[in-house]
Amino acid sequence: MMNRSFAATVASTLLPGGELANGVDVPCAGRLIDEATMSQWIAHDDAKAAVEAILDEAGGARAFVELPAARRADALRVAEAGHGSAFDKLVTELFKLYYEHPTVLAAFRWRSAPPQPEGHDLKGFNESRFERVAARGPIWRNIV
Amino acid sequence: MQTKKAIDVAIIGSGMGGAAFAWQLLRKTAGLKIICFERGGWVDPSQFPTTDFDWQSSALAAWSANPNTRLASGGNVYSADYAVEDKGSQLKPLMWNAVGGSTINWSAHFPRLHPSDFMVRSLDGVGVDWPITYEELEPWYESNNRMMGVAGLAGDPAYPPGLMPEFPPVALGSMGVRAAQAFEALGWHHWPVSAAVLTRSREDRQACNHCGPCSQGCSTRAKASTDITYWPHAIELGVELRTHSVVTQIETAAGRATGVVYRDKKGCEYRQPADVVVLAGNGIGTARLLLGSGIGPNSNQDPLGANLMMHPVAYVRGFFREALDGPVGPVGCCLYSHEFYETDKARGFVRGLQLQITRENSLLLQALRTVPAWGKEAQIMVSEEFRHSMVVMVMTEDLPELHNRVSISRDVACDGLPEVSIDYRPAANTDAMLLFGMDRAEELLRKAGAYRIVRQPYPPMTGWHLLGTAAMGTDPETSVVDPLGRCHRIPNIVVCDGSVFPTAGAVNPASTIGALALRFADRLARDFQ
Repeated sequence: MMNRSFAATVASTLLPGGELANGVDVPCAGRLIDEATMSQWIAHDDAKAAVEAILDEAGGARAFVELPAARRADALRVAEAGHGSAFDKLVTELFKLYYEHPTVLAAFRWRSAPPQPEGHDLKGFNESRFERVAARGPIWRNIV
Repeated sequence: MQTKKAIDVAIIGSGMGGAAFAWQLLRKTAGLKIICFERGGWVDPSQFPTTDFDWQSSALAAWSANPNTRLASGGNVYSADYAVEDKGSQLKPLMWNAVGGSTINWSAHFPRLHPSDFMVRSLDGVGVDWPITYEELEPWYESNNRMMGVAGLAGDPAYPPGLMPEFPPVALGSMGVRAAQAFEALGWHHWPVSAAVLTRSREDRQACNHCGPCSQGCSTRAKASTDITYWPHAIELGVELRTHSVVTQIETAAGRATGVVYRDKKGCEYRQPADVVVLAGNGIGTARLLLGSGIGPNSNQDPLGANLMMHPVAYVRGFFREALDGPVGPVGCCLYSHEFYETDKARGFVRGLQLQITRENSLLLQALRTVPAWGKEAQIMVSEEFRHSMVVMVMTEDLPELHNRVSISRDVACDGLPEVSIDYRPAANTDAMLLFGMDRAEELLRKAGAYRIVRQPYPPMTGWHLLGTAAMGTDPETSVVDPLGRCHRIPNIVVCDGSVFPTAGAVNPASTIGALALRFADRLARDFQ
């Protein structure tokens, strides 16, 4: 049996969050993604074999949730080893939900608004920087 | 099948080659009846995903640059895609099938070939010489630049003098400045890229606001695409652009093309007689239609469909302690170096490569590079990279080889054309060039202060440049079209896209495709006068 708790626990095992490099601190995936989206993710057709393998390895959804963190990771590794393609799909689909989430973008110091219409500021251009390059003279192969 | 009223010229494909050709031909020969058949429709810039919150994941689905990915995700409403069987290819094909062709989702890097690129057989004993020279093409490069709108900096010592971009260069940003300082410290050539991107507003096109993901379409119209550059002018002159019209056959009789057969949006089939048929469907689409129309191959040495060149690349990425603005700015447009472009046999290979500092990817795309890794370690990898990385793209010369090819099967695809496949694997010379280029890229990144380097040779989703499958030359045994783009076998078929490249050089081809199309059209106009 699959439920919200199972899906959230799988998600948080794949993306546990916490303090990362460069001052980035992100929440775990299970706490971030809403229930309906999480249910759709765990039921993804192309990831089915991996989810079933996780359930088999753990002895069911409830048992997986109650496992210690290290054992949960072991169960995922078994699924990954046996059903690589389906497991990659599970991971990829979760990454899409997670790394496009406004909270995660903000944690990485990036705005959640789309690229347009705001765009971004970019420093101007200093032409003098290239004077020394030009002064080297031609480097193209003169074929005459 | 209903037969339409005869026309002078049928053009197939509305991208860089087809658009430039149509405009130039009618500009020089008023009164001609020209129809351009485009399999897709007009793209509405307001619908580009860059205004949506899920813009990152859309690049992995309906707005992917790869037609197979788009089809697998349910298709893109604008791009009339066909599947390309690519199991035999190390690189996956990238393209766009709508008005504007692949200029809709290109990165708009707009360099020219070097003079030596036109003479690789004479100079270096490899590949073949082009039947034209840089000097012959130069005026057409200029014309194409004016129509597209090009930003850059005059005086690049990697090229013959005379390049005068209309707009100032795209800003470098902190990542570009750091790269420039490293190039300077090494004493290597570097220059701001020529970009078909407006850095100041012109007419109804805004200046670039550095949003980043050019490959998902440009809603400000700062990035040039032929739907907003050539086509409004061509249509005003009188060219008809017939959208949602898939040409399935070129009809021939007595050694001449008599016209085309096409399907409209409803699936109705029509015969369109034409005096001249012009192909501009890219290195895969053009070969597919020629082969499907029985114009070749005549033997297993036949150049039609063969010699596919795709410009292999490598990404070398450096990680920095300091924050950089990598994901800001037009994605393909920062700096390039042609320090290693020309042949130096002491390096162990012939021909050369360019190093290009491009912009970085979005957070999601950077994170997906860590798959299959997961867990805390994978998240740490992402945090080390995002806003703290610089990427150097190594792009090598690609030389023609018969075994790299476009093939068709006897099975018919849903669009009415034969199913198509590609086979492509890089040569040993390319491997050597790429390795040398990665070493130089790593040297540059170390000099810039990177504390860690990751190499990615031959990333599969980089098959942007589809070249060489209907190569230009003077010998009908080894080339498909003559120096004016006319098929040796059927002279009233003209090819004006990347298919005609005899060799590829080591730079992006769109500038050269446009220049060739203008030149071919100009010469055809004389025939009509």
